[in-house]
Amino acid sequence: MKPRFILISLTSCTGCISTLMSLDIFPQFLERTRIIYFPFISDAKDIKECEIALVEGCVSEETQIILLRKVRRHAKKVFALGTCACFGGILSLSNSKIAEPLSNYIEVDGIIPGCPPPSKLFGNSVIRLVENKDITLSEKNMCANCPIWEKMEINFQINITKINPNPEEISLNEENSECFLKKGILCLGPITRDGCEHKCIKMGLPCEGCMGPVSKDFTSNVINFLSLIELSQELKDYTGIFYRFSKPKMKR
Amino acid sequence: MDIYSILSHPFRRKILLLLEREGYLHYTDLMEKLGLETTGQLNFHLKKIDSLIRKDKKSYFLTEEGKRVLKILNLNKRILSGEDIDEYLDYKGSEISRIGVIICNCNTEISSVIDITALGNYMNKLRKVVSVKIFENLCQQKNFEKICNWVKDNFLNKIVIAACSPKTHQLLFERIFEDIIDRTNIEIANIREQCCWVHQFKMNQIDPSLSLEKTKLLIEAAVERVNLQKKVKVKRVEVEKSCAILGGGIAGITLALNLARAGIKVYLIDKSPTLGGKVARWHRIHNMGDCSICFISELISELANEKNISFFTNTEVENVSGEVGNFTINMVKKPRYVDMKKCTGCKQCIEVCSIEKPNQYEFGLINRKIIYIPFMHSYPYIPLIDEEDLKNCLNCRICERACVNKAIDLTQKEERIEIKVGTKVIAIGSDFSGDLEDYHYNPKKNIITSPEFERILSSDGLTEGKLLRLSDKIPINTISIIQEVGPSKYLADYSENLAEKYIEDIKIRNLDCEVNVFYDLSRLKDKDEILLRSTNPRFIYANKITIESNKDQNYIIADNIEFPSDLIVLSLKYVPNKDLKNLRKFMDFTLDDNGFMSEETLASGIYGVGTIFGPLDYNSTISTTNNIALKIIALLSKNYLIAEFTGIEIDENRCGLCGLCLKICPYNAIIIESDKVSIDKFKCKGCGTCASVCPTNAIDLNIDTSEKILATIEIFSKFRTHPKIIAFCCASCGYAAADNAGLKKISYNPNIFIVRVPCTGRIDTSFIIKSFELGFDGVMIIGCRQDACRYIDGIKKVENKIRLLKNIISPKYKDRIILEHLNAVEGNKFAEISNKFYNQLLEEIKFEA
Repeated sequence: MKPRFILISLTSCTGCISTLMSLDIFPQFLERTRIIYFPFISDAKDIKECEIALVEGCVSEETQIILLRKVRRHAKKVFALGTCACFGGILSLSNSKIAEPLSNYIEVDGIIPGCPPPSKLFGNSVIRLVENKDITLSEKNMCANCPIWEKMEINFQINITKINPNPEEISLNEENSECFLKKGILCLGPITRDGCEHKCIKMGLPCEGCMGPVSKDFTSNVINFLSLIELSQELKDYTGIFYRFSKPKMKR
Repeated sequence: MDIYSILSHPFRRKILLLLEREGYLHYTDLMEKLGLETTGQLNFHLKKIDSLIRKDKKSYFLTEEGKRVLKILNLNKRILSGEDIDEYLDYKGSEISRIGVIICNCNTEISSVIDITALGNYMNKLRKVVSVKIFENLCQQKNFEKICNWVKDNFLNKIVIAACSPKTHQLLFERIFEDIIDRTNIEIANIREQCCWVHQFKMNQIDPSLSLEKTKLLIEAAVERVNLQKKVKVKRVEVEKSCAILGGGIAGITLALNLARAGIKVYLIDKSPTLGGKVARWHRIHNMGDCSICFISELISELANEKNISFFTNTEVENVSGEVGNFTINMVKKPRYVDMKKCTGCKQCIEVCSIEKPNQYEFGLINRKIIYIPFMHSYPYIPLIDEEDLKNCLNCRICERACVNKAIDLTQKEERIEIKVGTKVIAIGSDFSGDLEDYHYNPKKNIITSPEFERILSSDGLTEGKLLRLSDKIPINTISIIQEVGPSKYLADYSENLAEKYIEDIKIRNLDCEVNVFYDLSRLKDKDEILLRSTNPRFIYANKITIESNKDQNYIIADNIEFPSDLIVLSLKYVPNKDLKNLRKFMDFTLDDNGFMSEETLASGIYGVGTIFGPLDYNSTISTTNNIALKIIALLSKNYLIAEFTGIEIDENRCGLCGLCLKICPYNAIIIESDKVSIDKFKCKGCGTCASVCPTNAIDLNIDTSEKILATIEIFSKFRTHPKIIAFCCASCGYAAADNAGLKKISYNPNIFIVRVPCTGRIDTSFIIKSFELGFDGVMIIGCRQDACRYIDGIKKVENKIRLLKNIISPKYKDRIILEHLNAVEGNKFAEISNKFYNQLLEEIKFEA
């Protein structure tokens, strides 16, 4: 029997579902599954019993909480799709008191992080879900496979002066590039989960942390990281800079 | 019924052992052998073990299951007799947790505050706990055997001791259970200092049910912690009862004698062909009446008579492998070309040799033959030929013919020697150096260095101890000593003593001789210090010193004043031995700022004595050497060492090599090399600061794991009344301060729960966030005072984290995290802080409600 799927998007840019639809494996996905509820491509029916629910976006209205709980009741497994659903994302920076990641309202069985999730990881995860296996995520941080990784010296100093490199400095030439942190540009690679194929870094831009934390929560990861670096005075908007993709805890 | 409870009775074990030995036994035989008189007792036990034995025509025998159980039992028996330690070590850390809880009543100190039987009953109900025992006084000798038997009977491999603070009796408990329980599997729940002594009902009307609840949680957390403890890798090393000493100078010889007299086999290895080091060529040692060669030769003659010492001169260390307790040292003994056994030291060969060369042991001031004895009092007193000299030699072989005993063998080859030792000591001393060209150094024009001057003063030296000019052998009337001519930047405080010694020696030889000691202030960094220190009127401080020569006379011009001097002595400085860098290839140590060996970084099993750590006078050398000797004797007195690394472990599957740990480690103990991360186990002190910043949890401590700390927080959060406070205390100061409050019996509120961390730097921000998430209302961090952190700056690191955390969290929480610096005796301050914090939170909670 084909596994039954529910795909729902809460408040979001729907980038993650769009990415899913643009994946090479999407036709295969439709073939091998039975879609119960997917308002994006078919007329919305009722939410019914299913094996797997993929939820995109973060909660921002009371009705969404009710919807979410309904999904949880009907689905055997619920997966958070994309950074907003996993960690809160940009939307959770809003003033809304209930803008929180899914895990604050329901029990989540697994996450597919990324903004949007990188195609390779996304495709593999979806196939694994269809085959009734667990999602495997890397347990290392971005530095592990970084194309411009450099060995850190003992007693080095990290003095961060800017968030992004100057436009003229952005180059695709990998041979000339060196570690952003050594250049004084903020890169959240060390505290971010590996698996995104380093698209930004290959384009000459530092990591912004969309893949979320590895083992610890992002809030403490950022604090631990900050305690090791010197941040220049004008960059003190901690929430805006570091928690673009993950909602900080104890904010309220 | 589980197998352990079946075996818990000694009678049942005895039945099984008897059946194993005899094979088959009749009922009556069994009764007789067990010494039983009634059948009822035997029937009862036989019924209990019916799964392990079977009855067949009135005789009993073991089943397969029974044989398997006996195998485990036998293992246990051998363990207890100390036979099979390796198997035992495997067994001790086995994965099955059988946890026992011991509650010590401490002479009714506990039961006077809480209901101890209720506590025992509660513990018995815990699923993870196998057995609970209440003792009156655990720390008394008479109870030790009883408690050990209880542990053995219940087959426990992990225990929780609910008693006084670990600071008081942890070592005692570790010793009691030394043979049966691994020390990492002993957890102490501090119910006396943290609960019973500070929450007494009589004094402060504290609800006794709260105290009881707190005690329960304290013990439960300890049970959880010990349950989560994984096996710590242990390694057993047989101790080789011997010691290798590199360097046969004064320090090396003294140490060798000390060790040999304690019955330790000593190998004394020296690179040069003679023992005695540099001091053997000195005239006299400051503050010591005896001339140095007299007491050195005395020491050497003692050394020669010691059976336990074998010495290797002309020998260099090639490689060292192994670990503390069992090192293998590979050495190369260079050929001497003279058979040491046959030679009598008659010096016939030296007389007939016709080629001369400057003698490096007399600093090149006089010549020696190709075959030579380094200096008068060298030991062994046997001539040698340098390896490179043999090529320049005429190859006339006259020396060979001149030798009566046929001791000379020009075909000798270098010899490779391998020795096994338990420890090794580096005593290679330092070198001398100075900017000699700046001072127109020239011995022929009477400008010499301090070691050369020692040879002039020395009675076996160049001038046989008379004060004569080297150039024309005219008696000397004026001597100038220039201090601090060395290239190193540190201020050599010994040079002052040295100058005073020279003045003394010169005055003995020629009372009218004029001695001046010069300091060139333009070359010194710490000018003020040296100006303030000395009061000797002979010491002259000049801003600039130059040397001029006019015919036979030298002049020192110090700030335009001329000092004619017959002899100018340049006082050299100690510089690090050039062999140190070579030694670093196979020994674990680092160099300090001046290039000397850094004592702190020496790996275990390696020691250093003498001037390798920097300049040292004779008395200090001897006293440090004696200290090291004691350390070595203590180490080698053991038959085997159990190497147990209690520090950090790195999971390579999680490590992304970001290098954040590298940056925070106060001891530079983490190394990233060729895409691999490793720990220098000798440098790591186990503070856990690195684990607190690792973003992927790849680093964790092997005893104070994050898992354990988080589990402790979770259990403490079960406490029912608010406001709940969690206090992270560093093991050295904060925890001791809390204990001190207990010892002084200063009461504070029972809502405060103490979590011990090795250092406040260990506190991960996630611990604090987790505490608030689990319902704690306040977090206290109690660390050392800022200048007194045991791990250099752990407290500053946590302060930094908290400052940053307060920037992010909502203002409500800002007052709910406090950080205090206490030292170990400020118990009253601890109680004061906790009560104040408690009251503050109480107000806030009321306000919120």
